[in-house]
Parts: sequence; C-alpha cells; structure tokens
Amino acid sequence: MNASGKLAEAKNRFLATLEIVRRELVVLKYSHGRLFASDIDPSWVEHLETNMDDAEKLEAFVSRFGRTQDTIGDKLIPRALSALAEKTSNVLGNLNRAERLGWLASVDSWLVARDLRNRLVHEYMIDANQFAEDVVSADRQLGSMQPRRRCAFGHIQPQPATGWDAKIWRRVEIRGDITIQVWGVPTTNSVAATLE
Amino acid sequence: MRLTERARHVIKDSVSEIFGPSAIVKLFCSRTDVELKGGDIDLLIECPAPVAESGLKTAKVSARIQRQLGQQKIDILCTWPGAPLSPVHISAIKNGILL
Repeated sequence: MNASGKLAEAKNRFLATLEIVRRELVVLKYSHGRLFASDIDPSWVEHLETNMDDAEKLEAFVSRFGRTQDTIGDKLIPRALSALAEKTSNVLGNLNRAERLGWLASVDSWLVARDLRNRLVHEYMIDANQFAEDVVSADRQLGSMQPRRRCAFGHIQPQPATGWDAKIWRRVEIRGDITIQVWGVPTTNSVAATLE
Repeated sequence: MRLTERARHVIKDSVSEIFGPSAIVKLFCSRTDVELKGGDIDLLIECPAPVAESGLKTAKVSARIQRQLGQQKIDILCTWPGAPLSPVHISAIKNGILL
C-alpha cells in the first residue's frame, strides 16, 4: 500500500474509533446522571453494602469512566495523530502532544481523573467518608475533562469539501447533549473532531 | 531501594508541594525488595493532621510524578493520626522506607 493509501486507512480508523468514543460518552453520561441523582455522602456509601441497585450504579459509572478514558488515551488520540500523519509515542507523549494541539486542556487533569478513578476501584474502601469524598472529586474532575464549552478536541473550520471523500465528512448528533462533529479539510490534509 | 536519586527528589518535591513540607513520604511494597525487578511505585504519605480532599491531593501528586518520571503505575496511600487503617496501611506504616 502506498503512503496516501495508508493515510486514508488511518483516517478511517480514527473515524471508526471516534464513533466508539461517541457511544461510550453517551452511556457514560447516562450512568453519570443515574449515579449523581443521589446525594453521595457517607451514609449513601455505607448503604452500598445492602443496596444492590446503588452499588450497580456506582459500578457502571466507574467502569464506564475508566473505559472511556482508556479508549480516548490509548486509541483515539494516537489514531487522530496517525490520521494527521504524525508520529505517535507512548501514552504520556501522545497526551502531551494532544495538549499542545489543543485537544486536551490539561494532561494534569487527565492524569488526576485517571488516578481518582483508580482509587474508586481499589480495595482501600475502608472509610465511607473518604470514599464519598473521592466519588465527588472524580465527578468534578470528569467535568474538567471537557475543558472548553465547545471543544475537547481541536477543531478546524468546517467546510464541505470539494474533491474530498464525502464519507469522511459527516455529522453525528445525539439529542443535542453530546455532539461529535467531524470535518475533513483537504487543504490541510487533516481530520479533527469536536466533542461538546 | 531501587528508586533513582531523581525519582526520589521528584516524589519528595511533589508531595511537599501538594501536602506541605510537614508531610512525610515512605516507599513500600515491591520496590523495597532487592530481589524483585522493576514494579510499581507504592507510596505512603503520612500527614501530621487530617487532610481535606486527600483523594484529590493524592491524585495530584500521582499526576505530578507521572509527568516527570513517565507514566508508571503509582499507588499512593495517605494517612494521618486517627485515620482508619487497612492492613495495607498498617504494613506500609511499619515497613515503609522513608524517602
């Protein structure tokens, strides 16, 4: 396969991954809403022992939170870089690059969110006060992972393209809550996405 | 101890910046056993008094260390006088090596 064929393949791969992330964000948002409909305080944590329903809500949120982060960090970002014909390195290297490109507001926030999520799955849940505090911290950190109102990943001016593969340019909208818009811009030979 | 000097400094500085200079940090688990190769970094932060939002602060320390040392598996426990202790906490307090 020649270079331009490989690049086209990289772009398609990125778009396929973007679709997966879109779906993961939808279900994460759902689980987030369900969990935080309750007041997460020490007594809520203590009742987890017998309240199977709430335990399941917590589990769903934590696992979806982690999975979405992993997909974005391990797959979406490196594939976005490859689609832009950029070299990829290790996870931290890619995150730093994403930060420089304006896709992530803060690698620090990213890492903090990751650590908070890991704390929630640890066996160290020995203190209901601490656990409740950590769940709330994780929630706040998740909010800061969508750092700009319009843009979690960098965007490029949308233009319906001429001479561009029409399949690459598409817009996906989910109930106006989570919108992922993808533009292909042939002049800069790049593909980017905006998550709102 | 298998930590490099640089790693030691990064860890101590990160803890001091987030928890203040009176917090002490100990290394425990796999990294203290000379027989084992590599492994995760397990740290215990002992504070002189209860800390608000300790989970968030601990996460910040972890993030700071990772940014400087590269992403590794870093597990950090935080404790203070009177805090509830798990068996892991107890072991870390007892066997941890002061950095």
